[in-house]
Amino acid sequence: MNTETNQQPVLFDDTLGLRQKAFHDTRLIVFTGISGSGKSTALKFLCDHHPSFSAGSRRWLWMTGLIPDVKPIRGHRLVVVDELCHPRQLPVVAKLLGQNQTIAVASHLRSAWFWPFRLAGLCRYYSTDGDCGKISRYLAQLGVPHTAGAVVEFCRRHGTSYVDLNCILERHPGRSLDHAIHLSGKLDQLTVEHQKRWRPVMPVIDGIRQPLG
Amino acid sequence: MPKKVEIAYSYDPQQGHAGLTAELKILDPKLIGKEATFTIKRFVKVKDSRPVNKSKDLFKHKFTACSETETINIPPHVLHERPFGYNGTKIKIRCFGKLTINDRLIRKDTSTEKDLPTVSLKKPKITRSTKKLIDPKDVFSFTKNLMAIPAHNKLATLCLLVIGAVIMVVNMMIGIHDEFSPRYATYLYSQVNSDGESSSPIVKALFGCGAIGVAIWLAIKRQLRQYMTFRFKPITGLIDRGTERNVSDLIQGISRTNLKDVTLRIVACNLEKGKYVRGSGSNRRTVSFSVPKRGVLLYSKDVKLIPKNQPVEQYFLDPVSFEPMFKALYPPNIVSKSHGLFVYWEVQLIHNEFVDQELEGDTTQFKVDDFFTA
Repeated sequence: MNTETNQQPVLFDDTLGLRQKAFHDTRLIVFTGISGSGKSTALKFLCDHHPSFSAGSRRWLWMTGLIPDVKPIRGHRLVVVDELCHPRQLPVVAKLLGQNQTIAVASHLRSAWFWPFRLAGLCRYYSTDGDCGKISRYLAQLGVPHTAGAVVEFCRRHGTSYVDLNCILERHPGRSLDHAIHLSGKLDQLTVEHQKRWRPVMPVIDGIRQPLG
Repeated sequence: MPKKVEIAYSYDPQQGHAGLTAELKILDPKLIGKEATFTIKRFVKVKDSRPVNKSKDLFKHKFTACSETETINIPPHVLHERPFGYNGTKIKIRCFGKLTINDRLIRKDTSTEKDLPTVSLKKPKITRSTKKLIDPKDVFSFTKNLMAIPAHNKLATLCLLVIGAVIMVVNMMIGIHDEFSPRYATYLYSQVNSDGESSSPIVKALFGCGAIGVAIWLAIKRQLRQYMTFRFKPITGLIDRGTERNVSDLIQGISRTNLKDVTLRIVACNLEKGKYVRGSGSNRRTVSFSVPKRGVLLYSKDVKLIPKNQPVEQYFLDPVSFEPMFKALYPPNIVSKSHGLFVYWEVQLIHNEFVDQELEGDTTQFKVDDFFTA
């Protein structure tokens, strides 16, 4: 099987209003959401474009199923932990917190796992799932006609996942999301592949869209 | 480099499906005495840059290569499945024998492949757009659709609209109030977020309205589908090339409203099915696709008016022949549920005022042999 993994540059939609947030005193930033909803891109934005972090030293850590030795990772302004998917990886986050200034995490765990951090007042918690508007804005950027109903139907079936949206538009290009979603429901099926081993791919941010309000 | 192994087929028509034999020639004497496997595979290759191909073993025979020539009788079930090659837009299907000699420990074993001697199936060219046939443009009027649904569904829809509008107006009024009130006097939306930073109550109220709108639209759509019943009647017996059935024997339905300018169509096509991969890292998706090909219109009739509460089938008493489908479509060539060439048919009830109705037909009753005859 071909394993082509070239990452296309994306326009980062700052739907969570991260740019306006000051993270100077924040110790832990957690992003949760379905696969493909923009967690890693949000981390990339914090790492490379946010004024609180872009001037300091940063480190990116992929949790590809293993528990890494984090002893040497210390003294950084920001450590990004991408793809946290098992509770047994949480001690790594705690350890990194003790050795670095701020930790930003993209997590597949339930929010309850972060309650200890939240109770300690250490944590800011964001969900990338809630906003259907980002799907509309992405479609407008691509120039794909769509009605509000089609966007709602897409979010109901697939969640707010950019990856799923791209798959559907690739399969049924040309007319509109309404047409594509109807045909996709009739003819196709999308399934998320849960793999034990995968090649990490760093998101590439091409531009930033400012949040509403 | 000279060939080390070869496959040759011979077919005795008198023996029917049991008449196929494979002659396996071991041309390199060094391979004599080695373990070998002869497999007949049906293989779907997906035409994509990141394909998920699939193969199925129809027959597998393990043996020790004792002489230069081994003759293997291929069991009749292989030809009974009528395997044939197909080269479509998104998939290619091959049926071939593969001889593998287990002669290497680490590197790739010596092997060869040869397609089965199948008859090439020639089907007529079809110029019609299959996508348009399978998915006619659905035009409908929300108001007329609303008027057509039963009274209790209508009431439920109107209640949903009124309740939704009231909640959204009140929600926005609270948002505007909270935006311009002192921080201590807000009703619902705080002017600061959990991090102590300022945030806009109007923006929060707008998001709230969006969520309410979504919930109400979904509930209304559910109500709009209730304007008629439309389903298949039980179809008995095998459908072959000569089968003619009255359309009224295939479907049944009753509308709660007058249906004007209705078209009923029966369409059929081949579906090329396969899978490919998109996304990267932990965001990988498998896309299972079906591409409609070779669309055939089996029946189409326009009716000016079907009065409400009248059985819809009464207006379609004409016979429909399945022969054009057997002539134009390739037979099913299926490797798995997700890979291969399938036959698909459906009944469509199309009108411009209401949401179209579609029924997907069962294909297990088609006589597959009749797709092969010219």
